[in-house]
Amino acid sequence: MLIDAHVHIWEEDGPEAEWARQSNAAQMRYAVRYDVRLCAFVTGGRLRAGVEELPTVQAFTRANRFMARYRDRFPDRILPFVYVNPAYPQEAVRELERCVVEDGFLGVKLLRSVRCSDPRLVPLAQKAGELGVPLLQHAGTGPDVIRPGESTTEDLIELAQNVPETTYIFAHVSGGGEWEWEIKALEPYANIYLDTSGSVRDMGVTEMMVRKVGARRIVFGSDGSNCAALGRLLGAEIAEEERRMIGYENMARLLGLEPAGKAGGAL
Amino acid sequence: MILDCHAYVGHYCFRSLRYNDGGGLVKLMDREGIGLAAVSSLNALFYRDCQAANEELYRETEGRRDRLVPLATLNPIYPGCDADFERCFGELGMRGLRLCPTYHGYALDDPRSLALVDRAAAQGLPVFVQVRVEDPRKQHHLLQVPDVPVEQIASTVRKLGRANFVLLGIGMQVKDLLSCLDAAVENVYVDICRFEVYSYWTLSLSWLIEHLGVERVLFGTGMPFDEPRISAVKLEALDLSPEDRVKIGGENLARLLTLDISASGVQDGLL
Repeated sequence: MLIDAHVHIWEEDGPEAEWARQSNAAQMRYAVRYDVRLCAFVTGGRLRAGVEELPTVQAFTRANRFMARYRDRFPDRILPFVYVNPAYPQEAVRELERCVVEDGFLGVKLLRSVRCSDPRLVPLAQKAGELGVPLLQHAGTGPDVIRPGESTTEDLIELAQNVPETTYIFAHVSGGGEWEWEIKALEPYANIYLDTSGSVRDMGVTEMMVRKVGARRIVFGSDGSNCAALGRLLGAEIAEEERRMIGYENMARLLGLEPAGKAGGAL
Repeated sequence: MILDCHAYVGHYCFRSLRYNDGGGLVKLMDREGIGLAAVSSLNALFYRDCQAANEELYRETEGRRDRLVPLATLNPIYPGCDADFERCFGELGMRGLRLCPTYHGYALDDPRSLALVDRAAAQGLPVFVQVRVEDPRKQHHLLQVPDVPVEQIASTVRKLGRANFVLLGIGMQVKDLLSCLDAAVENVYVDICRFEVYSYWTLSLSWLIEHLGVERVLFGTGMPFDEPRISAVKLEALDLSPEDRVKIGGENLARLLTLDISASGVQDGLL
């Protein structure tokens, strides 16, 4: 059993409905094949139009309702995360609370709507801490971190220091940023976990993460690069105990799930 | 046993690598159950005179050529290329030509490059085109290297139909390439390292196999720059017949490099 901390699910309507259905089905095939539970979120849909980065309140509410329905279709596989736009601070906090308290969501995902050092994120981060759910933040360091609203590693560090009672997950260490920089920069901050996801296949990323921040603060993630994620975890030269922590135990602890995965699956 | 079309020895300027000499690479291959790899030099990307890197590669593979098949990296716009060709293929017995146009500063369809490719093809040598080494999103500011443009690949393939091309590190742009070329193109091979099985971000390997043909898809890892287990997981995850898995896992590359694999176990082993 694995827990994947970073999975996009797409709304299955509109002009890209067929693509969305196929993409979602592929993620479920991956989940079944490798016995993975998916921390999944719907980032407003409309991926290829780029609108997901600045969703309205209506759009992110609709996305979360789709996420809840999708979880109901696959209750053994989907661990739903809330998606909101912190540019609407009050509505974002209300939506987070509604989803966690009423719909059983287990975390919150933020993308590129607002840089996470923006003061508008503070009440949302505080609410996540109050509810005991982790905040998965898209972030990175490097020449590709250039889009408006995109957070740098240092933005997340600032937020984590301002709201220290919340647990954060730095998204996709292998997502195209300068991972050596990111790992070393995040090392001192015990309330920031690192997700392994991304399409960059560089050898040695997992080993450096374990060496610098320790296996206890690393969570397995794919962000759509599922085989890359599996290969990165399975090929890493780390202890089997560390592999289990990264693959399942750390995320289970963060989400309040059972502490040990059953045998089988990819691990 | 698996055969890998995409492996390196040598250094990369901006990151410390492990397993990056001949002995280390063989150890990594043993770890991964990879029997044989076509190997080129990372140093050849950066040396002005890349023949020096070919000589290093030859020494690194010495005593290991049952596992490491060296590819010569030549620069068609650099003086002495003809002599280097003779040295690599006439004297050192290298098995394929690698071109790195975006690192060496020429267009793949430059007449000098075409002449070099044609010469390799005349000798039955496959031509490996290094489309990408490092993801551009994380390249160092001192070394911003774009992928080899699809138009140049298409133009070269069209002009030199008798050459066999292996596109190392090509990704989604293969879709544009195939739309530029005759659908029945039979001299283009692609390594799997940048494709996924389940992804919503990139083209799937199933798409690649369907559109290029299973005979022209090669197992490739990019090791030790890249983690080799990733490609192993992809090959394992694909829904393939045993025969097609053997083709991608080794038979196709063996045919290209004219290797006799009958005794090497590619038909059984881990596949």
